[in-house]
Amino acid sequence: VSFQEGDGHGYRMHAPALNVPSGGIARRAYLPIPLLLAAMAGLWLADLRESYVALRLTLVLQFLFMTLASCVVAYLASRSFLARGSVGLLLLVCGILFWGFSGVMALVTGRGDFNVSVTVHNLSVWLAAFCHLMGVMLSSQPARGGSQRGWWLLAAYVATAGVLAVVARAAAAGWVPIFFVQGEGGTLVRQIVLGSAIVMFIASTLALRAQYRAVYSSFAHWYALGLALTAAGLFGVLISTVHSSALNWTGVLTQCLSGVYLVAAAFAAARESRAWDISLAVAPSDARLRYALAVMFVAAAVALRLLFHEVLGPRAVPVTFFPAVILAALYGGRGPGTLAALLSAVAIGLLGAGAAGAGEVADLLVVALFVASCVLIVWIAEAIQKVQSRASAAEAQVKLAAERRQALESASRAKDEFLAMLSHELRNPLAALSSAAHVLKLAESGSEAAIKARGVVERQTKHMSRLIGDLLDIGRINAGKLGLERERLDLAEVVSGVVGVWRRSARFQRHLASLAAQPVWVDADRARIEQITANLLDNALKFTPAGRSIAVTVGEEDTAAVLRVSDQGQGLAAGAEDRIFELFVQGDGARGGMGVGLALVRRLVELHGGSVGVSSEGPGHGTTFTVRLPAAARPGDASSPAGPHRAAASRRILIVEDNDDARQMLEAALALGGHEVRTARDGAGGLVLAADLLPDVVLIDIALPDMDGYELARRLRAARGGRRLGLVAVTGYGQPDDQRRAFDAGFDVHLVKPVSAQRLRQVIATLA
Amino acid sequence: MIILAEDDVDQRLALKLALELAGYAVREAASGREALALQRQRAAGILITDIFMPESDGFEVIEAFRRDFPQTRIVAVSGGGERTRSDYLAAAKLIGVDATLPKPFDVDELLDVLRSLDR
Repeated sequence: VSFQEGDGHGYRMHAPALNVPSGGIARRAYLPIPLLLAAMAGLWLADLRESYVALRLTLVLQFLFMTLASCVVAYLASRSFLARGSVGLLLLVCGILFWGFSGVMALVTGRGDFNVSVTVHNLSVWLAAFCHLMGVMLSSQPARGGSQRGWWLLAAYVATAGVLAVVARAAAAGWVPIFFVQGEGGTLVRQIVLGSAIVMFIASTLALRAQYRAVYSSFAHWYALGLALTAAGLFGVLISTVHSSALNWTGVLTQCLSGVYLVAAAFAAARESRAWDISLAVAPSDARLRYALAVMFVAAAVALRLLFHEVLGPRAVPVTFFPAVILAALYGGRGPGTLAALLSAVAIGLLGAGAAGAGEVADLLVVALFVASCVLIVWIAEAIQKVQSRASAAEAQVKLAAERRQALESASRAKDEFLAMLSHELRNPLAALSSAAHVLKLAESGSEAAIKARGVVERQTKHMSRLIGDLLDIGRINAGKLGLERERLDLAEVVSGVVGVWRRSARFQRHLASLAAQPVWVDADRARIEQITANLLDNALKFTPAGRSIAVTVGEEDTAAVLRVSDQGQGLAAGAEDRIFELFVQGDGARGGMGVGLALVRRLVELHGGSVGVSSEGPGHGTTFTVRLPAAARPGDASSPAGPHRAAASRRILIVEDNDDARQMLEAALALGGHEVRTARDGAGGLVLAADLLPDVVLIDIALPDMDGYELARRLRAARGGRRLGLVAVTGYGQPDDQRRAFDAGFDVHLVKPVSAQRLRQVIATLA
Repeated sequence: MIILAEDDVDQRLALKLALELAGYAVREAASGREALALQRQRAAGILITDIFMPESDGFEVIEAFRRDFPQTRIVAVSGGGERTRSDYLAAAKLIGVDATLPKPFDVDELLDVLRSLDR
């Protein structure tokens, strides 16, 4: 079940019902935020100065709803980090732990001293906000760490614990400025620290929402709301002047409520992935995020500077801002780097550039020097980025070249094997013909030997001409030159006809052939259906010992016309099911016969938009071939519009292809068929469009510039959950391995370029 | 007398007719195992065998004949397989086959070989 509607925040949401307990809860989950903000505003106006100190209750509440909640989220995020290696998840672990332990640490360290409690709490919360923002910003970064992810995770836990300990010690020892005076409220330092934390939480919320505008994630939805609630709770704490007043309590309880939301986010993500996995890596990256990150780096530098203003004074201000500029330039490139440099220059100017007492000229000189150094930093960072991207591009090119070479080599090997098998296949009938010719030359024309020899000549020439005919057909299909003359046919009638002819020509004389056929209509080429049937019968005869039975059935199953040919032959070894349809692959023993027949059957069936499969219960237990073709309506029966003529229905189709010509050709071919067609040039664009368009079918080129088609297919499947989506790979690689890779990645159909318009229409008709 | 081991019905039939016209008594076997069974019933002087056959392949038959019936002459024929046929025929020669013929061969060629083996 799925639904699609606005959620009051103006962005489209599309989620399977599995994600959330019910649609209503997910949609109205934002409601407590305005209500709580209104309540806080009311309490602030009422200015109730009564203090209700209840340390034990606070401790229990904060332990349950913040510490425990954060541990649950951190555990799930850690598991996901180990699996995915996303830097964003690692920072999320740090952030959620800072937040979760902020309240408990504050109470334990403060022991009733409000200032110490507030200091510890505010600093921890600031760290939490910073980590969250960084995490969200970096969530679209590629996976890192490889086998060292465990160590990275351990380092993150140790760093978090260490920083918390330092914060507690610094607050208890009075190394940081006074944060809070009971009755008067927070000092300027505290308002700056807490205020920037709130800003960062809100920024994280907005960034999460912006990133997941295209791809719905229930994790992002609930987590963003949880962070917004935290920001609201902190706002209440910020404006309260009396510790443990009603206003202050409301702020604390709001934070506890946000713990519930964060746990809900973690569990929703876990349920969605069915693997206790939090996915943060699906969002496409956005240039605006890099600029926002640059601003945040500078803001962090300002906050740090202000925090230690009393200790440092106006000394060495620029030093604080260099790391911000370096990080912004390394991460974001020239634009964000320059922005960070300019903002930092302004901040340095405002904070007092140089040593106290130096003149204005000196200040200007410091700022100018700073800007000059920044230009250098940005330039170097950009050069590094360029080298890196060039190296990775070269690496990708080498990989691609190796893949191509491998494909070529395996194609050439396949060709050699093909030629060897072909010569074998042709030599066998020639050997019989040569011996028969010898007999006919010597034997009297009416003798038994001559009659038998003529029989050999007849059968073997027929066999050879069919072999050559099949080979030519395969050649034509591969070249896209084999057209179908489709008409509305009763499959049962066509198959019965073939079986009848075979019976009359005594080809079943040594076997027990049975036929059970129910009328079922198909749009197909009569000659080709006969060819398919004959080749399957031929194969069954070849592998079934005399005296055993061959069963043919025709019927309708789930809107498909199904033809089955079962034999009691030697069966198939496990794993041979896929290979048997390849050219010249035969059952064990290399019994004479053609290895072309089954390959041709598969190609002909696919040309009709159907599929063919084989099943066997192992060697010695016989084999069943099953051909499925799209069923059509009985001719003249107009009362069933849903079933047969689906080909004519309009579908929403998305084409992801970077080659302009190929894309336009596909688009034109499909638009002519009356479909609604949209196109994207790369994987990221494809993902965004897919979320917007909700296509029935997506055609994907395997070689895309930003991610390969397999990756895109996996993401599209993941994003759509279990809902119906037809995925078609369009590729230049036609090896069986490529096909297997495509099916593993979730593709339904694997088409090798060039794709004919007709084939395309057939595929769309069977998928949609 | 000749035992003719060949899995393809028509090849076996045509070759049998040709050999009978040349005056040989021919017994047919569709597999190596059948050929060995016929030989155990009544030993033949010559075995003509395909190298690729179902069940036991040509090499196994050749080995069994060499071991149990060393006086029987062996002619191996092959239409080639996944590798080149000369490989297989060369291998057959190595394990003690008296003559080898690549498919398709002229029956006269085979008759020449058989005559030379009789001598």
